[in-house]
Amino acid sequence: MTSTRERQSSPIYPRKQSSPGSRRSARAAKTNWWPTAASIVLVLASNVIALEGWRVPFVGPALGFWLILGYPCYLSYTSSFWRGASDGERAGYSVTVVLLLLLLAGLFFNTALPWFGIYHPLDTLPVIVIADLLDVALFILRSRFPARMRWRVLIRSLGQREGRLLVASAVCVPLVVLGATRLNNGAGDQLTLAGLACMLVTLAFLLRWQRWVREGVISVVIYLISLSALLMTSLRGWSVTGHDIQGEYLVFQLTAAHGRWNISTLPHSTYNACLSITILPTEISRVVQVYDPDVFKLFFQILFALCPVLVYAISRRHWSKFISILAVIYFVGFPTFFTDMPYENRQEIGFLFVSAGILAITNYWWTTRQRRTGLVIAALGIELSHYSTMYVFLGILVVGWIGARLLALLPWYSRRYPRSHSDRTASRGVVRYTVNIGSIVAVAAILVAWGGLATGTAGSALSAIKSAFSSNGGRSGDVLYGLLHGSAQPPQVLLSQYRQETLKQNAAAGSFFVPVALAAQYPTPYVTLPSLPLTKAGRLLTEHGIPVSTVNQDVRQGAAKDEQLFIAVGIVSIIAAAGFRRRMGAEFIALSIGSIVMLGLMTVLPQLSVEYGVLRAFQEALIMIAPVLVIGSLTVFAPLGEVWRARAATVVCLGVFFSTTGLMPQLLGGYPPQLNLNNSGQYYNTYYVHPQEVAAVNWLANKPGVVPDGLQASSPPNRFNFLAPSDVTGRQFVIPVFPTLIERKAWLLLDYATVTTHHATATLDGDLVNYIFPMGLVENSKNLVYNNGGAEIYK
Amino acid sequence: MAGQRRRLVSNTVTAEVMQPEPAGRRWWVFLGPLALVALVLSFAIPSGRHDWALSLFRQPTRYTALSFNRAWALPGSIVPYQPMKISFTINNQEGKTESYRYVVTQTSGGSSLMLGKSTKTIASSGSWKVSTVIRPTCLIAPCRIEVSLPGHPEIIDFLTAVKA
Repeated sequence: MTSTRERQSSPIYPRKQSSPGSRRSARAAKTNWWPTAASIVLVLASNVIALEGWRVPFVGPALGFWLILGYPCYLSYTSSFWRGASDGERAGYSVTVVLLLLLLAGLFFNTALPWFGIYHPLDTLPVIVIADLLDVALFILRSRFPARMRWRVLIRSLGQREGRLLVASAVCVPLVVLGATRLNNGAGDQLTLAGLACMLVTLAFLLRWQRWVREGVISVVIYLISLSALLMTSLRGWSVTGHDIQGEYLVFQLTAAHGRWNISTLPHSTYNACLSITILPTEISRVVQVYDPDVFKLFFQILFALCPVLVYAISRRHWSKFISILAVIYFVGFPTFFTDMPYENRQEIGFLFVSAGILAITNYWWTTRQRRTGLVIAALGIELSHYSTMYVFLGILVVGWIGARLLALLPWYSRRYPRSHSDRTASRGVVRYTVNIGSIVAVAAILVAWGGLATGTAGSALSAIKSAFSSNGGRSGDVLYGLLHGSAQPPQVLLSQYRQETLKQNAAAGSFFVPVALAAQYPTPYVTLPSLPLTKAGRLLTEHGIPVSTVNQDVRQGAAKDEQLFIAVGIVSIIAAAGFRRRMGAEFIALSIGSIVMLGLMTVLPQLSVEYGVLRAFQEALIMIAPVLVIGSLTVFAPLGEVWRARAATVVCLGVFFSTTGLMPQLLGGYPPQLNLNNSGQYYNTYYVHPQEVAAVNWLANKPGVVPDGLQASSPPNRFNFLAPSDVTGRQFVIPVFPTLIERKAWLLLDYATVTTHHATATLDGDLVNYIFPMGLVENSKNLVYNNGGAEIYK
Repeated sequence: MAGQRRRLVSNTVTAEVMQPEPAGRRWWVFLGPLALVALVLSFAIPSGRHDWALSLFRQPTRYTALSFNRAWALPGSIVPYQPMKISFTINNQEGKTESYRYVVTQTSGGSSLMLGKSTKTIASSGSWKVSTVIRPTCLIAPCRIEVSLPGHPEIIDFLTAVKA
């Protein structure tokens, strides 16, 4: 929680209600008319631009974003609803409330307007009505509950170091944006590397100068660095690049093309049940008027970059700036944050709601009822945004609730934490628990109502959970990063087993596939993708007997294992040390244990690691336990003494960031290439969409027989879906093909990697496995009917 | 034990107080103009301008697309020496006017034979729809009819059976 002194220095605090007709109020009204007038002009201008469909570069999208998100968030932020909250926390509440209102209003219009003969309720006009209603409603509310703004005071009082940090973090953004454009044009990684180096240096100086930097400035610096980290990956490729995002884009286009969201349009798709990637991007796209992929690639990242700021705010509830900044560096530096989250937009929005929910649970300025209400509202946002995030969140609440009760049974533990019924005046250790059986039931009811009754998508989760406890199947290779990982099948074995299974399947299917005897003649050997060549620095180290590849591998593995070790040490320290317990409060400790238990379950139960992904679960857990990780590192280095343990923890944290972001492997070489820095590597081969592939799909879209005969693709196929508004029907499925299962009559699309390197990718047990694609098999069984050097189509 | 616990929650964890900021050097006075000069210089040099273009604007991807026009209805068999109509399209996306030569060949039983060829200049983003009649002479199945563009790597082909 922020100290009284810091709260007083916050730029915002509730305005005292002045008596009607007072001179001061009249003077304020006279001098403050222009922000209202400017707001009205901006809102009107954005209305006109969106309604007329004018494409005004930069200005149009900026005004559209201002209309639908910027202005309502600003109104909420500058109201006195969030009294007592820090700047970051206030921003978090404001953005998530506006997002939830947009989701609910969109859903309401989507359901109600067809009753009145409006069959495209998510077309431009209804969406603008939603945005205007939201703006007007929040404007009226904010007029009744204003908070005085002190922007000028804040800006004027910026310290020298604060200014430097702000400029440095702001510079990171254009560096990575231009860097991504360079890479997309086939040029080098120089600018992105400069951006990463700038991020690292800024974070180092933020840690060094933190005692002279105010909370608001720290939040802005964290936001800009997080945004840079996200854009570095999200802006790769001119089309939709990434794993889940390609499926997400399909359901977004489906909603946008029909001007209406309908769960039955794509009945078996859990993606289609996520309003965060159907209704929300459609609403945004109607007013920002940009190339549709940029709604995900840019605007969603602008929103999600707030998540680390909320992680900082959560950490600041209990810990110092130093620990909280380190916690955020671990959160942002975790590879999933910048390599996977930009490809999982539904989860990005889900994580924002999770963070807001945790802030609500731990908001000791609120009464218990307010906290519980906040939790349930956040849970509604999570469920509407992303089903899996909700399952994990509910799991954390349940385990945390049980854990709190079990811990209370320990005599030495409960003696120090007598339960009290006083709330706001009590210290954190004795505040009444927010998470009780009632709030858990409410959260579960939301899950059942939306996932079960409204969309019918909860069944897939239940079957995944059932199979998790019964399955003897494989587990994702991600678990190998775990401290107690057990074992995963080597990819060669997985590939060989899969080949045998598919040959049997082929033989049993008669003449549906290419002849099994022919398919069996062509092997599909496993292949490892080449690592980056050694750089000058890498060669220099090698000449001095330092094996660079091994160092890179060990540092990355060490980083993963160190983080888990630090969490384990941290949680034990917190439970054991009375000072820590008093600081964090019993409930937060229990919820942290809940996060760790859920993470453990993901690792131990193989099916869950395949279905959900251990790394994503770790990222979600870090929202709460990142400071626990830092406490663990400080505890491990405690023998070094007060000063040096802090220095050691800082060096390790920044070292992890240096390695995981790709800066270290890129400077040395000898490590698999990362997509944010290279035009090669696993993600590039599998998910990067080349213009030649787009051209091939467009050529195919007009051909007869594509839908009944089917379309197969040599790599994960979502990127080949037909996405032009006239083509999107939700019935055009592209099937991933393994060479032994090539259908005789289907069209077959070979992607850029397969055409240029003969490497194809299969998804086995949630892992990407590379193999040599047998070109001879297709050449001897099908006609090559389209070829542009980057994509080939066979029939 | 108590001392150890105290140490765990000591200054690093609890330090909260904002300290008055010591005066620092004004690096920006020097760095700002320096950055501005570097920026201007980078626009003055041709290679610098090229790098800016690569960093700011999307550059077109250059390729040539070759495709059969009725790809779903290619002949499944041929009668040797009988005329057969094939049609295909060459699409120029090389960003400049190009002269294209196509060659139609048959391959059967290890031997190849050219069946037709022609040349045409295609404007940038333009297409050439070719409809031509060939007389394949394959006697052994499978017979592969191939269209290639010498000087370009793109090839399309289809396999046919041979009727007596």
